Amino acid sequence: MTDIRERALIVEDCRTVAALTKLFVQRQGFEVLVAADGLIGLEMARRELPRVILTDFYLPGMDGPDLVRALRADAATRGIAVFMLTSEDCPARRGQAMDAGVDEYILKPWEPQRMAALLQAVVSRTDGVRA
Amino acid sequence: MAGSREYTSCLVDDLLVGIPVEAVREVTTGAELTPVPLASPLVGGLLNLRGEIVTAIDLRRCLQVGERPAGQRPVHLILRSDDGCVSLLVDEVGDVLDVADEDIEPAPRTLRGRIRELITGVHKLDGRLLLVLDTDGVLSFSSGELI
Amino acid sequence: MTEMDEILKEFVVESRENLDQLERDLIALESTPSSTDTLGSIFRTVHSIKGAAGLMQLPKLEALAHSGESVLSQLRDGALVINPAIAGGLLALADGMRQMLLHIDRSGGEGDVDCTAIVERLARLQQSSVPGPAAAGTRPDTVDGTRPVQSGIRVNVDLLDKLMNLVGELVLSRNEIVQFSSLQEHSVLLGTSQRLSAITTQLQEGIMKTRMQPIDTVWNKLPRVVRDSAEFCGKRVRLEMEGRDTELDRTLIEAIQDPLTHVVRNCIDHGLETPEQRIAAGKPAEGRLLLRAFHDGGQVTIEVSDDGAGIDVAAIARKAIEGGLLTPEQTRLMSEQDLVNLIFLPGLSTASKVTSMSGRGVGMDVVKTNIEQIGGRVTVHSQAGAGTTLRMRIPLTLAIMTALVVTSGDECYAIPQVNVLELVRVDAGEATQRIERIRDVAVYRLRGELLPLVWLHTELGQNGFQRLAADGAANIVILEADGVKFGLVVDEVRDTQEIVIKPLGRHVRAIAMFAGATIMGDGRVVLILDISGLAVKTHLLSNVRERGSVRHDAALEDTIARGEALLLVAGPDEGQMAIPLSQITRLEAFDRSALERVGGREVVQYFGDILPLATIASLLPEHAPRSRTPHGEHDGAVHVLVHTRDDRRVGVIVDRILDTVEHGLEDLRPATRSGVRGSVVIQGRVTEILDLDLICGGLGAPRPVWGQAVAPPELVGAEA
Repeated sequence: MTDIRERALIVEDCRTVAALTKLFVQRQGFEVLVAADGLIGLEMARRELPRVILTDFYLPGMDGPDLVRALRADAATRGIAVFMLTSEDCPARRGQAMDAGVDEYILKPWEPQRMAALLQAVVSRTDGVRA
Repeated sequence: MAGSREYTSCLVDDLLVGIPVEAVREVTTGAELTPVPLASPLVGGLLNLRGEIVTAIDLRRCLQVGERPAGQRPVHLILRSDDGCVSLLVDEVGDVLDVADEDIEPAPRTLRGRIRELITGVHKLDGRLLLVLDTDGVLSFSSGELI
Repeated sequence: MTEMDEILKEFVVESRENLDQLERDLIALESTPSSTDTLGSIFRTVHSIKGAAGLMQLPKLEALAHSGESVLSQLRDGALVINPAIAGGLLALADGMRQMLLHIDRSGGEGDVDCTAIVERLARLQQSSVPGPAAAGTRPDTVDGTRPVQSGIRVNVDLLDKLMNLVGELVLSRNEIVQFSSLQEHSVLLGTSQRLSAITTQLQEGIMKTRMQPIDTVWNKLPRVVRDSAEFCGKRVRLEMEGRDTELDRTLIEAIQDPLTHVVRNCIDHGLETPEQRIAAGKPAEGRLLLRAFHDGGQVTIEVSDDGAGIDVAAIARKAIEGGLLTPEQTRLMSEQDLVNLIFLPGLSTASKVTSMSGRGVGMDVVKTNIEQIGGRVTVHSQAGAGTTLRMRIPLTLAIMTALVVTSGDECYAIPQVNVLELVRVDAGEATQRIERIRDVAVYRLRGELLPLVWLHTELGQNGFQRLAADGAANIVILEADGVKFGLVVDEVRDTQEIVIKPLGRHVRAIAMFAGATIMGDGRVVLILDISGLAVKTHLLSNVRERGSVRHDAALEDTIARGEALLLVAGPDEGQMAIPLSQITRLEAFDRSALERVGGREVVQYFGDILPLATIASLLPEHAPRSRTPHGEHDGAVHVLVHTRDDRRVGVIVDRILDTVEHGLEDLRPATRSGVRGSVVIQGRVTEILDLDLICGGLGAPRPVWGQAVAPPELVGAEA
């Protein structure tokens, strides 16, 4: 029986960051999709229903917080784990992200072990509903 | 064999000319030549080589041995160059000759004028002189200049 | 290559693109300092680079970006307002980053590139905060504007090249099939080949689009170049661009980048005057640099013009003389345009502040060579006090265009459809009336408009004088190029075809009359006419308001006076003789059997006429002949130079044609016999220069009647 991999969606417009993140997440055993734009990311999330979404804060089309709010507003995508990746550690931004409803707020560059652990935790949730 | 090279031999009027084989891409006959008005007289015309447009340089005119006899079709020696291919018009193409580098001598004083400028050396065969052509020299002139 | 190596490569590419955008935005910001969109875009760009650098473990680059970010956030908050010092600092930041990227690209790491100077400069700028009006109500973290979404894929360039070639081959095959099927009258074949034709056309257009990029890809880097050069040279410059979306094949885009940059720098350094000089000359202090690009008949024209002082021909001439490239007498013989063209001579590049700034020794000669290598041509036109225009014309490689096929003599020629306005046929018999003459120039009246007429066969150097078609009609193609309208008289008009333009090789590409070549359905190579080149050659088009006479040079690239074109022949007593090509209408070779004897003289039938023949020996009265084969036969053919004078044609038999050369005839040694202009040493031999006008005075033939049928003769023998 073939190993069905969990899907992850990365929403990031900087190609280099997207490529690196994809590489890392793939090595954690995920099948990775990439969107370079918030609107496209939302569209792909609805269609593909990934297990986890890693999104940047600043995005063209629809920025990170708006994307997360849209995901939470839709019953189909409400339960997807969302990690917000950002390079700025600023309380205001963290607050915005949490208000929008992210599960984790992660600073770039992330600590590999921590990120791996967080991704594993997502997969091992049996009911797919956030705690 | 170390220290020797192969040359494609060809006849230009009664001159035996040798061209390093690596420079020769192919030999063809029967190609129609489109004349290029206003070009240097050394340009024999343009031909269609499987869709590639190739300039033909008339070796008879380069070596100043007079015009090809009426009705005689030239043979095209297609040479590689980094600017696309060029065809050298000769009368006949002969065998590939193997010539040791040390057997190539500088052109004798009796060879004068244009011919001298275009060859890099000569080789004495039985009763004949093989003139080694300076292919770079022939290929590198551009319109408006004569070699 | 590991995955990380690939990502690093991608990082360098992406960052460079980001920096291009950054520079564009910075320069835009200088003119509209309050644009929050632009500022937002700049901030995001630097932020992006910083983030990526951090992830790629490139701490120096990250630190650089960070220092830029600090200045930018102050700008964004209104604590700082953009000024030249800040803009300069941020541009220096971009330069520093480029340097670092270059190092990373080459060595995979940051090495010991030192950016402390830039970081300090930016830190200083931060502290110079001039309290500006606080940006009220704007959320600092708003995402203003959107970066354009790029939906596309990256395709390997080699693959695109392959596809392009295949499509080109497909078009050629399609042409063959269409030609063949049109002869077959087989309805199914015809229908299918028509469909094939339509599909091929669409495919070709689609593929070409993948390779075409707007010239803006190159031009968008120029505002920065202009800004830096102007600052460096102390000039004020306004850059204007027209035709930014003119598309070129991507290989051409790459090839013109450097030449264009150099030309722009040159204009600012040498062309434009300082603000003070300009005001003194009654011009606005700010100089204008105009870039234009447009398509024209299968070629792309790119112009760079400035409204500066024009090219100082006196200074150039002096430099050329000092450098030993020309003598003072030669410069005196040269027209103004020739002197202007001297800027293309290697060794004449005047050292400039700007070239030392760019650190590279690039001269106009290199620009010219670079453009010619891609099959293009460069011309320059200058007006003292008003400005200079440099024009580059480049053929669209592997472009496919519609062309009108015409004939002249035995050969077909293709005229880009874009240049063709209409076709006019003047029937036999009407020609003399309809073709008028105004001061020796033939013109045709087209609905009241007088158009100058040009005969294609004449411009191609073929025989005859204003020759008409076989049936006596005049087939005139009304053309337009660069705003000039004229009529081209051809032998026949064939049809319109879609052709693939192939560039000409180095041995023939500089000929101004031809823009390229193509392959017809029957496999034959056909030359494509460059109508602009034709117009210039026939002096219908003159971009320079020249006072004084113009040297009649065929190609504008001939910058040095070269003397006359001469035909070298073997003389009667084994000497060498030369005849000016200008005196020779045509070179013919007849079979021995074609010669006839009439009334004690040899003649040959020629174009429906009788051509009297004479050997050089018999024409030179003091000649002492030795016995030799009659009529100087060589290789079975009799070589004849046809000389025309006052509509009479005569043939001069020569023993052997040796060569064509160009040689100055200023220092002739005086003639020793009549009919000879003098003698000079050519190719190591004393050569007598014959004057055919003098020696042929005695011969004559009946005048041809205007409008008489002129068909290419079935002559045996090769043409020279």
